[in-house]
Amino acid sequence: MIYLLEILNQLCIYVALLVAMDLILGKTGLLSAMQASIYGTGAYATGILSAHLGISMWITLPISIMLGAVVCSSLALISIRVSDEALVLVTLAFQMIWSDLANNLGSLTGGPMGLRGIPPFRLLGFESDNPIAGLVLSATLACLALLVAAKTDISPLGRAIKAARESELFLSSCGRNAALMKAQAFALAGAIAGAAGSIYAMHVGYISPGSFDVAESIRMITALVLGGLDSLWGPIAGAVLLVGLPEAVRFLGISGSTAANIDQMVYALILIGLVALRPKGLWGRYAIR
Amino acid sequence: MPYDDSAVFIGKDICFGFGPRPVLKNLTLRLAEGKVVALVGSNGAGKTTLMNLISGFLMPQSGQLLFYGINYAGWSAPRIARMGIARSFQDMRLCSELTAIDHLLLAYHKVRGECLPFAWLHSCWKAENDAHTEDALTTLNALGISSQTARQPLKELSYGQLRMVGFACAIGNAPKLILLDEPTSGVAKAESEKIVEGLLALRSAGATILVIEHDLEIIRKIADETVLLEDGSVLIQGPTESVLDSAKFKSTMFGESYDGNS
Repeated sequence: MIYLLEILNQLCIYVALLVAMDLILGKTGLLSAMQASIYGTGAYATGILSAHLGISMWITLPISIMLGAVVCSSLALISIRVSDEALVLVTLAFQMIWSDLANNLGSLTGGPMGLRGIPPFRLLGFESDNPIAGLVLSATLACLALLVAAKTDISPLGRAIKAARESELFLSSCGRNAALMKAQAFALAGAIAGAAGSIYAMHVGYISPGSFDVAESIRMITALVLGGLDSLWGPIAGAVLLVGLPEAVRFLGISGSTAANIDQMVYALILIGLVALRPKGLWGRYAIR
Repeated sequence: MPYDDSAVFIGKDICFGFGPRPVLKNLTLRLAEGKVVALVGSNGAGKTTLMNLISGFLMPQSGQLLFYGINYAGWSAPRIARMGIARSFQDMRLCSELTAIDHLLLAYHKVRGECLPFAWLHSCWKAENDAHTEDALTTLNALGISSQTARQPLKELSYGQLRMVGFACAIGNAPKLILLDEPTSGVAKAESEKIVEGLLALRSAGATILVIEHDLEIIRKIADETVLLEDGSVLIQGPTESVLDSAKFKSTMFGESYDGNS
C-alpha cells in the first residue's frame, strides 16, 4: 500500500513538472534544458532554509516558488532576446553550472552526499513525510498546476503566448512584445517547478544533486514529447510513462542495472516511433518543428 | 519638407541599406491625412523595405520618421503599432494554429488579461473580450468570412481567406495610418473586390492608407495619390491619374521603348 502511495506521489510531482515543462515547450515552442535545475532550486531553497536555519515551511515554500519564477524568467528574457537557439545553450549552461554548484558547495548543499534532515510540511496535525498526507499535498500541487495551465490557456495571455510561438512578427505588428509574453510562460513554469521541488524535499526529507541533473531534464522533455505538447492530457500521459515504465520493467523480474538500461532504450524507441509516426505525441495539439 | 497639420507621416532623407548595398537613398515622402496613397515601382525598388522602416521592423541608417510631427525613428515595432501605425505583410506571417477571431482580438491593443495574474481573473477581461469578439465577427463577416470559418484555425482556411484575415487585422484597431503590402496579391477576383470595397469604405471614413499594389485598375479605383519609387528614391508623387499617365511612370514600369500602344 505504501509502495503504491509513493508511486502516486511521484506521479503527481511529475504531472506538475511536466505541466510546467509544457508551458515552455508546448505553449512557447522553446526548448529549455534547465527544468530539472529549477525543480532543484525549489528543493534546495526549502532544504537549506529549513534544515540549516530552521525557517518555517510557510516561508520556504513561497520563497521556492518565487525563486523558481525569477530564475526561470530572467534566464529566458536574457536569452530569447538574442535568439531561440541561444535559449537552448543558455539553459544547458545553467543546468551544468547548477549541478556543479550543488555538488561543490558542500557546506551549504551537502555536496554529492546530499542534504539531510529536511523537516516535513505540517498542517492540521498531518506531516508530509506520511505517505497519505504527502500524496494529498502532491495531488493538490498537480491539480493546481493543471488548473493554472488551463486558465492561462483560455485567457488572452494564453492566446498571446501561442501567437508568440507561431509568428513573433505578427504579434509585434499588433503592438505586443513577444519576449515579454514568453517570459511570463517561463515565470509560471518556474513557479510550478519551484513548488514541486519544495514539496518533494519536504516529503522525502533528503535531496541530492543527482535527482536534478541534466539527465533528469532530458527525461522530462522526452516524457512530455511522448505524452503530447500543448494539451492538459499530454503531461499526465507523459508522467504515467515516466513513473510507470520503470515500475513495469521492475515487475518483469529484471535486475536493477539492466532495468535502468532497458528504460532508456524503451523511451528512445517510443520517442523515435512517435516522432516518425505521430509527431504530436499521444495527446498533443502541437508538434515540434 | 516642413511638418504641416495635414500630414500624418513625413519621412525625411531616409537612408537604408543591407550591408554595403544601399536600398533607400535620401528618400522623402509625405502622407496627407485621409488620403489613400499607392506605392508602386519595379521589383527591388525598395517598396517593402520602406514599409518595414515606417512600421519599425527595420531601423533607418539616417533620416527622420515623423508621425504627427514626432520623430519615432529607432522605436520598436510594438511601440510603433501601439502609437497607431498598423500593417499587413506581403507573406502574411499569421499564426496557423490560431483562429481568425484570435487574430483580430490580438489586433485590438488594449487587453488587460495578457498580464499575470489578471489572466486568471475572468472578470478582468471577459466582458472586453466578448465585446471585441463581436466586433471581430462583424469585421470578418463584412469581408465574406463566415462566423463558422472565423472560429477555425487558420491552417484550415484558403489562401484568399488568409489574405482577408491579414487585411482585417491591419484595419481592425482603427489605426491612424494603415500600411498594406500587396493586399490583393494571389487572391480570386471576388475576394479582391471585397478588399477593394473595404479600402473604399475606409477611404470614405477618412483613413490614411499607404498601399503597395501592382494592379493599375485597382490603384485607379482606390488611390488619391500615387508614389513611384525607383532605385530607392521617390521618382514622382502626385494625383494617381497624372502619375499613372505620365511618360516617366510608363518608361519606368514598362521599359524605355514603351510608346503607349504596346
